[in-house]
Amino acid sequence: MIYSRKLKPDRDFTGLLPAFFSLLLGALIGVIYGPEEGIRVVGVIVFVYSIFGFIAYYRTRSVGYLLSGLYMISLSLVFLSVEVNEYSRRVFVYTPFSKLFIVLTFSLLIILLYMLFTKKIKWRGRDILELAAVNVNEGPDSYTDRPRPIANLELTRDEVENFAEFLKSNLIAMPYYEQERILFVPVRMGQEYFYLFNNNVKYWDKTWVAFDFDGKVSAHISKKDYLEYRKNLEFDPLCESLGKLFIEFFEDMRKDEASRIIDKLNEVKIGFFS
Amino acid sequence: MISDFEKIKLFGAIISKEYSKDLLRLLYLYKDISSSEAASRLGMHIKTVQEFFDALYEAGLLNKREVYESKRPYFRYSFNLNRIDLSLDVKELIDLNKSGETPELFIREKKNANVRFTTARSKLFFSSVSVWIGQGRETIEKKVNLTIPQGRFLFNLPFPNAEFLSIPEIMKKADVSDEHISEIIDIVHLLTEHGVIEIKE
Repeated sequence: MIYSRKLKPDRDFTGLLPAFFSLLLGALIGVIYGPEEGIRVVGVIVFVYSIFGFIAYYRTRSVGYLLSGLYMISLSLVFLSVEVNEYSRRVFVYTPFSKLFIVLTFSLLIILLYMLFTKKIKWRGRDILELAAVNVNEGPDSYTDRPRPIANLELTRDEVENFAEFLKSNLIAMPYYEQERILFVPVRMGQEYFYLFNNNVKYWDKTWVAFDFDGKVSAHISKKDYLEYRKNLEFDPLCESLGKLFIEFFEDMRKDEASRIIDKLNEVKIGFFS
Repeated sequence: MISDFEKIKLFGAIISKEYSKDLLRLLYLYKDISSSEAASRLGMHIKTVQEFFDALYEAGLLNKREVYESKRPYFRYSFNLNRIDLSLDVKELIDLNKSGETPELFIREKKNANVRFTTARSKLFFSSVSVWIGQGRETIEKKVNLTIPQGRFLFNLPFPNAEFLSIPEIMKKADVSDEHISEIIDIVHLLTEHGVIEIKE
């Protein structure tokens, strides 16, 4: 199926800013204090980033974040173990220890690139918003900040919790657990840091789909996400479509056909970084 | 027996006065009495007594007769009851239609309504609704705390541009029982007045 894009193009590059500023800082320190200091500073920064990678793994249980954390530790150890001889023709002298980490780093990098191209380390927020809008027509701006009840399902708490684990580990939506329900917030690429490293997310204001443990399903779309669409869409059908999309995912999960969820999301063909 | 709400309200206001017991006692003892006679008997100001008697007359509890003394008219009041009974039918205060049945209204949320619904933390329903009245610096927020049936009803209110639904249909969707119909109609009327709910023409 060919999907026509209903979302505005993604020009967000906030995800690249930490890497850019780290390299800039390393380069500055290298120029001012010398190459050894510069490369060591970058090593320390990358090591700190690896901690965030492990926190992200702890929050999502996504293998991608675990490998990313290991990759950054390995890379930081390369930077910290390489010998620098600024007065020699070969400025960087690789010790056996650093060679070992170079091999490890490249191996992990290849795996991560594979995961990137197969969208296994991509947050699926945009894919979800596109899929939700597929059969929704343009209409007058009828946005309301209210959640919309979608359906009453026969379900158990265990099923909803398993669903949450699946969506979380596959970076489809970030679950927020409440006493009587779980809310699923679709996260777009570039916004994941806010959700991963912030314990006080006001998720009620975001776009979400909630599954009550007594079977009630409701959906809410934030104004910000609604404005991400190129044109005004009929709001009531859009909310209904978002809720039904998650119900469809939930049914796939129940039928033990979770791979279909990924297939549906891949069909939208959104870029790796969007 | 007084059963009119306005008269009961008036009677409630005058019977709460400190001197009401003494004046009622005088009215009961005397066949008829003027304001000045009662005022001098109890050492009160004539205007206070006159206001009290007139209020009882308005409430339908006193008779008033105009008499002349050397061409100067004044009123004599007489009280012919042994007891005062009040009866208030609260149901009559509800502004339902004449048949007393649910009005056949088809409703939905109005587009661009200046409103904020606050979701209750424990369940998926609204705990309050805020509307803004006035314009510019004169704008004030009117916040209404909702009962649980009202909150569930509004949670299921159709979105702007969605299909209109009747009140019973929304109540069914929201799992609100018929015994709450009057409070639902009350909130629907309030929110219609404030431009939050749109009624199908």
